[in-house]
Amino acid sequence: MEQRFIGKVALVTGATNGIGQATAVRLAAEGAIVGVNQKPDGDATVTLQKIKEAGGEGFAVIADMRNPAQVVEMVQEVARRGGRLDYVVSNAGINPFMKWDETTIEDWDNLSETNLRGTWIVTTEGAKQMIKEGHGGAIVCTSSISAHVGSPFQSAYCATKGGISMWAKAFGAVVGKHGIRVNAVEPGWIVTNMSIPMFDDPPAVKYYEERIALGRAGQPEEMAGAISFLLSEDASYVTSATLLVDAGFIVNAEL
Amino acid sequence: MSEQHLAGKIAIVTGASRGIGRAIAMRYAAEGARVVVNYVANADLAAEVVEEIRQSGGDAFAVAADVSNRADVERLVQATLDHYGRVDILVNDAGVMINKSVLETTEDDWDRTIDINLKGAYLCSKAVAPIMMKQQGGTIVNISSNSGLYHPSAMKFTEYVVSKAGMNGLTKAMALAFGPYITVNAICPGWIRTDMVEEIDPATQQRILDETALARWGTPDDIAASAVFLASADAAFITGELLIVAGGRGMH
Repeated sequence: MEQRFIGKVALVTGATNGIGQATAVRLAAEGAIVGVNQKPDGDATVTLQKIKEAGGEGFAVIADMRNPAQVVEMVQEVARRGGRLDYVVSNAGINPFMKWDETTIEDWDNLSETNLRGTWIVTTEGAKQMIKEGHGGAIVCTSSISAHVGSPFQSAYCATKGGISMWAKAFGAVVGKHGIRVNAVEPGWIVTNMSIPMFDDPPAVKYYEERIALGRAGQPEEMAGAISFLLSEDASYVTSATLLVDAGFIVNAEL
Repeated sequence: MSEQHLAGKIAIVTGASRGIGRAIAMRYAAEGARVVVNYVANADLAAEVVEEIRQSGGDAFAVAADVSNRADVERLVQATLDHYGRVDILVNDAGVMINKSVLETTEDDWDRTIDINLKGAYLCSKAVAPIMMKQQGGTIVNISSNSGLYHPSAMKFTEYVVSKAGMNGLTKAMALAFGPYITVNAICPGWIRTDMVEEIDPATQQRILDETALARWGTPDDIAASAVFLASADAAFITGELLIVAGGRGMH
């Protein structure tokens, strides 16, 4: 494994499984010290174990993305324990399926506070910390193909992801002068806990396989590869950009 | 470089005698690829690129070919096969920009821009796709422009904008047609410090910088770095995508 992130410190939210876990492990394997975010009732043990196996260094930090005070404190804690803060990967998110006409205020608030407001708080606090430390940095937000296409039972989720992609673009424009880059990745059909129910639905699997140019689902590690590129020096002129990582689903989506 | 991302790969880079194409050829070679340096007129510059690659321990050779001419393109691809036996990566970089208002450009300007920038990418991609399909692997990287997406100052160059918007569509359509073994993506650079930029008036140059979040020009090396990523294993799940490398320009 190459070592692009030696001496750097990263915070990855929603890092107990899926894309967040793969990203935390990849960054640590490449030399970063990684703050592994878990919810208060979450468990970062597996991620920390994988980081250890990869020869990396990481520690768990607890915060519920819906709780602003906890998120602010988490950013401080990562900078304190890691000695600095260079990268924030705002990845935590939820995707509860629900009918549009049965979605309650509580459902909406839960979704938007976790996905969108949580992203806003952790990225702004992260950027403030980087500016305070007097160096640049890089931020990647996990958005979704749902920022581009609707989906039954996921309308509110789509709205949060559209918001996240636009936030990355708008925020990148204002923190660029501090040497901070902000981008979003937009995953397609990736094998994670969030998408597992879809693999038990043969018509859904057929739908995806036929429409995806590469004819397969992606792995969390493939998202980690894209995210680590966007954090790396190779992407030093990439900011306010969104990167679809969907194997050609969007270009063939039928809605 | 701690790890070579393109070790053993065979790459054709069109328009590689200068600017972005040159930077991509050099970086690809440094990443372990063997590179076919295509050019149309600058034989001396192409020879310099090849020589620099060889002096750094890489492997490359130059082939003259007009990408808008099908016979030339077939010769370019055949020369690659004769020399290296396969082709893993095609970078469609050859391009021109006519620095005139559409009110002043001629039909010949239109034809020349569309032929080189758009038809060239089409012909080169069509020529390598059957080979990559037989190999069951390959990737195409189109060097487009964010002017094909939204950019006002570049919008002044009508023929160029049209060619790049076409290239963005071509990228997506070919991604569908060439899957699952071939990935096809485009890089949409913002303003990159090349000969093309030097021709722009100073006031416009300043405005462009003021509207760029990172407040600097891009470099050919910036684009080369993204071109390495899109051709690397880390981008295996990316196809049909337009990667904007513009320093945050366009968000104001």
